[in-house]
Amino acid sequence: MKKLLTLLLSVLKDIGAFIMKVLKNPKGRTGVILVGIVVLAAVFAPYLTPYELDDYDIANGLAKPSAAHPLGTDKNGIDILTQLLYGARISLIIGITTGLCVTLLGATLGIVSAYFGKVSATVILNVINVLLVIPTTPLMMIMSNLSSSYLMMIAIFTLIGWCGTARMVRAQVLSIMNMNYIRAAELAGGSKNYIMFRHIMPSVSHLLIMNCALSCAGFMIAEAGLSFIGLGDPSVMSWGKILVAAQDSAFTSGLWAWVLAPGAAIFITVFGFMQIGYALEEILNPKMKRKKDTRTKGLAPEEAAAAVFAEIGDVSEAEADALKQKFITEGQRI
Amino acid sequence: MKGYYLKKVLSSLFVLFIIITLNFFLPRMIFSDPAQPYFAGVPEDAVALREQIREANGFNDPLIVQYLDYLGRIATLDFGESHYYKESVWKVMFSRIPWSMVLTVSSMVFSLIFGIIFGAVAGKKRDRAADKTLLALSGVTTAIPSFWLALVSVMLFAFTYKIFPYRGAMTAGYTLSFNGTVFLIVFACVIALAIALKLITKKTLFIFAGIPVSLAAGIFAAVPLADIADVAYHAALPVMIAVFSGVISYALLVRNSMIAVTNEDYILTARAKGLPPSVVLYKHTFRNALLPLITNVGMSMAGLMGGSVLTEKIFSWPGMGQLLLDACNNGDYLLSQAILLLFAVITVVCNFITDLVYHKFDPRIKEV
Repeated sequence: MKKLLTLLLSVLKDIGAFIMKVLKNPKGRTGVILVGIVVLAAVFAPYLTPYELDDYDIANGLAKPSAAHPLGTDKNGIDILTQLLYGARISLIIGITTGLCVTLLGATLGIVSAYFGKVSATVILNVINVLLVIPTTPLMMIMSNLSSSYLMMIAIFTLIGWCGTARMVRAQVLSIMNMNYIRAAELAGGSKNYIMFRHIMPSVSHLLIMNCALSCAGFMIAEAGLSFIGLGDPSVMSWGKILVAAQDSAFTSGLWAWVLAPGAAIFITVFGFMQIGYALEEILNPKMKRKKDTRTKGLAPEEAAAAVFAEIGDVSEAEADALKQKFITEGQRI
Repeated sequence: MKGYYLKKVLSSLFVLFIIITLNFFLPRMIFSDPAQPYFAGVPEDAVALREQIREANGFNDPLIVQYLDYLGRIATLDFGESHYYKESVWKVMFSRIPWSMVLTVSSMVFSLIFGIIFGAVAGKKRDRAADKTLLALSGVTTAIPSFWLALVSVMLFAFTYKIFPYRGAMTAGYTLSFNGTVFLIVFACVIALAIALKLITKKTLFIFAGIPVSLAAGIFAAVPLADIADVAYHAALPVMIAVFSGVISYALLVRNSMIAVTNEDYILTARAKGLPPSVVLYKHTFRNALLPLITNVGMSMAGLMGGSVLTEKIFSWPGMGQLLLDACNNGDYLLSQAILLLFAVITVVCNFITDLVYHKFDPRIKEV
């Protein structure tokens, strides 16, 4: 019992120390603060606004920003700020869940393809090749007709988005596998599973954590885009949907706050996640610290990662470029 | 080398097969009754008539027969008739592709020109003002959804200050007149000139340049200047927005690859043998730094005909993106299937060409 408690304490201490490291990093600090604000707003949405999403007040429709409605109201008199706060929920849920799912699925399949025999490698690589060529936007649009629930959107994003992560992880694992310490572990009689969890996982974890934060950001933009073209969940409020309504009525009546606020919200959240991702990369990736590393010197983090993959073989230069494209701009490509 | 391309062709065919299969099964999963779109205008209670339609279109056959039948129709390039437009799917698609290309091609050309210049200036020396501006801007453009930028600029330039029109590709009531014969004549003449130049000078460049130049010349000859001006006026805003983010992404690519190339040994050699810095910069660094751009451009080529769904929706532009969106919303699945397949074919072909070109320009690349 006592042993367990000390173990728990040490784990908590490690986590605490890690969080402190993130907070000490200027980028990490900015990111945590920005994302923190959005998360708090989403969680406490019902307490932050006196209105509900179905508070119709048609007489008071299309109102200019005022003390009662800081961002004005829409055509039906529903408070825009309320919509914005509730919209943060779906944006965060979809962004974070998809980011996690994509990273987990990609990491598992990436490691399996690199470390567990030729058959699995062939199968997975072929699936990846197919997914990289399939035009994702039309496929996503057609598939979102299957079900309008936002869970479907998460599923589609995950199904289509994992291949970038998997290739990245595979490349990293392949380069590590030839290192002497892995050879030594194999010679010492370590089983495949042991080596994978004990030696390989830790060495790709920094990539995964960074990738997760960056994909969260990318998928939030993608979600906003999809709900803007009307493929989102009709039963929940999202930032993209606010903008659709704004395009219909805010333009002619000059309600700037209605258009600017959702964009600012998306920017703050996505920028926050990106900063966290870059901070994690700086903290966790020992290669970034060695300023002498000419491959990564002076490049933006995601480019640096791709440059490293290009060098460690398996991924050819042309593919590394494709990878770079897939990396974060996923959402911008709709 | 041959084995590599054979493998590539086979895997491309496999991709197309997957897409076709998806195309067949997705509508059957989405609609409880895949024959539904065929019933347009048929009353709910006309059961016998509905059954007849179902029978006539083969919906009563076993699934495998339907699937083989579908494969057969794809093999003969028969995509059927759109339910919504009551026209052949081919005709509907080809009436939209040029409109998408007006936006995509012009934004790509401008983005490339300005992107390469900006990237070269920024990559020349790290941490200068141009470099810092580029990095800051790229942070902003990745974090801001481009469709929101489009919305804001529409509100600003089309509503608050009425400088640009806010919707459509032409002024309402106008139709574009297009003289097919003139187009063909001019196109053929310029292409012939390009081929002749190639044969005389033995430079492949003329073929590469000849195709876009002859297309452009043909279009300018076949469409009256007033119509071109009208379309350009309508396209200005969407193109500017696309160029804004395009310039930054191309510039970032060029800048990063310039920095990567600067660290190469052959640049050191060039400097060591006493070449003037400007020669090293433009002859060695810059030229090699443009290589990754080939892949990038090749990949975006695939998107040229596809257009951008979001931009086209915001500007009510009558292009492919809008068409696909409408097809999805109307349940017009014969149309959306065909669009998906067309995009896949274009992507596969473009990837293949990109690969070929890359190998030609960069012999160092290994054949995986």
